[in-house]
Amino acid sequence: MPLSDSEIEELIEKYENEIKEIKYRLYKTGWFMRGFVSYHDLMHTLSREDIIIMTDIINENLETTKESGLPFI
Amino acid sequence: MSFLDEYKRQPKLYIDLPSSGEFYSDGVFEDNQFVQIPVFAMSAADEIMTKTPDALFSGKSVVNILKSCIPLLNDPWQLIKTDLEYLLTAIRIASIGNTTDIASSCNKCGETNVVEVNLQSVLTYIDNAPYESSFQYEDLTINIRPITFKQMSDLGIALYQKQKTLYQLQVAEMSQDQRVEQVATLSDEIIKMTTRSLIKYIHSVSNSTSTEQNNETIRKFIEDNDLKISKAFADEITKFVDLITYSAQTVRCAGEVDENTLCDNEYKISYNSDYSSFFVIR
Repeated sequence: MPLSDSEIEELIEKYENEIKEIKYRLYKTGWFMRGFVSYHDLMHTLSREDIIIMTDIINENLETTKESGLPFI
Repeated sequence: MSFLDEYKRQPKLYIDLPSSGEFYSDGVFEDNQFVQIPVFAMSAADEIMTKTPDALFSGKSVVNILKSCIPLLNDPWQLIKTDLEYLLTAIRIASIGNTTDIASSCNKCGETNVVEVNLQSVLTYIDNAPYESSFQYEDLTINIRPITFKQMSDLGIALYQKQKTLYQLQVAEMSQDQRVEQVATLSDEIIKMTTRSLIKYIHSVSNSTSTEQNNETIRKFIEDNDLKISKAFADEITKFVDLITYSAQTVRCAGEVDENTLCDNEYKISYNSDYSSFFVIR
């Protein structure tokens, strides 16, 4: 049997939130990469694996900045 | 956009089409290339497509993802079921890796169980599955082959709409007699539609001298004939459909029936690569 109306509504809401999360993660990566990647790259060119690697690089840099006590911005 | 952008995305794997492209007309795949087809990982835009309900419902999401991740594929609607499953599974491997988790609810206690499915074994299974078959009925030879994604999608949407109407009838305000009559009519239409969806698998019917390939003529022949024929055909086609579908996995429920007793119920789940399959019955 197909999903009921209430189940479909729940699913749509879940999807909307997941889409927002994806966009948030991408835009945040874009901000941290300081112009190294464009919106087009993030949205249409790079794979999940690429974004995860970038997130690791960002986290490493944040950690280094924290340890060295240098200003981040 | 610079043409150099095309060079940024690299294929993650190369695959050979299980059907070897035997049923496709010119142009479905670029240059009729059916081996060493490059498969790219999904982009964020593709991932968003898998969460867009209207596009999922119409099948557009799957079409866009296939075009984005398999640039050599020009017309995804023409893919037969086995090739479609194979390509979608290959895209999953390229995008998320060799395994995927499937969540299911236990039919006894309602506990949610998660099972890991090895996607490489799905590819191996589909690769070895037959992509055409035949059976005998008296002196007739019936040749069957998987239906196309377009046929699957159209049938899925039509069935979904009928089932939604059936659901609405059950809660609508009307007399019991009216409800029984309308539910019976609609149920009959759903059964007919399901039978017709199976008939779509028939590619041709032949005897020693002639061959009929017109699916509409074959449908009329089956529907106007004895019920025995329609049942025999449906049974054989269902066997074929089961054969080309990745077999179900057995799940042992980890839930608890009460404080001291584990549920331990065993039930079967099946892997389906179509993103909209849980939304629309295909």
